[in-house]
Amino acid sequence: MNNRLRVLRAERNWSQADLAQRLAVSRQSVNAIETGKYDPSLPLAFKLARLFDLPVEQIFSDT
Amino acid sequence: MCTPILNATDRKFRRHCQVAVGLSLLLYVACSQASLHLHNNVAGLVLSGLAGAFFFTEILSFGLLVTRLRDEFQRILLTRSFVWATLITMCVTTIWGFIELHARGKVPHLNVVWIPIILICVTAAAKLLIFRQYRPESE
Repeated sequence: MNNRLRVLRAERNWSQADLAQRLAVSRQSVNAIETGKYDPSLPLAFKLARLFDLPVEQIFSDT
Repeated sequence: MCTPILNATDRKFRRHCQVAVGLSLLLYVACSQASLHLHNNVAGLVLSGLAGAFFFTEILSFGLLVTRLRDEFQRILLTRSFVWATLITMCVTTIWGFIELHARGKVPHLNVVWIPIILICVTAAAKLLIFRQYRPESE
């Protein structure tokens, strides 16, 4: 699954550590999601969507 | 907006689990080694029972530590480490058991007290390898 996490994070000038703190996860988790090594669960995906104020499908895509 | 990864209750629970994991490992080693020197003895039987109970506590504390982790990715990595370690330990000890059976004294006997220690060591090694695989690059 692809995601726009790195772009969205860069737009807000957030580091991976900043995003990790906002999501209450480790930086390792944020890095794994950004690099596509790990697909987050639905609750974490919705948490990301709320944080960026975007629908989930605008952050994650299966193409 | 920002929420800490672990709140005070989580941190306390985690610390308690880590202490329980370490303490039960030490007590397991002590009881199992002592029981080896007390053959055909009630004290040896009691120590063996205690060793089994401490190994159960070890697994239980580790399980509680993993299930209470709020970071789902860390939880998955720890679970993966334990699954790999269990598979490796099961395979190695089973194969060694068959070799012992057929070699008839030509290979050293693997005492059952070492199996939990092997499992714990392999879990630690697997955790190290798996976590290294997902180490985040510097920004």
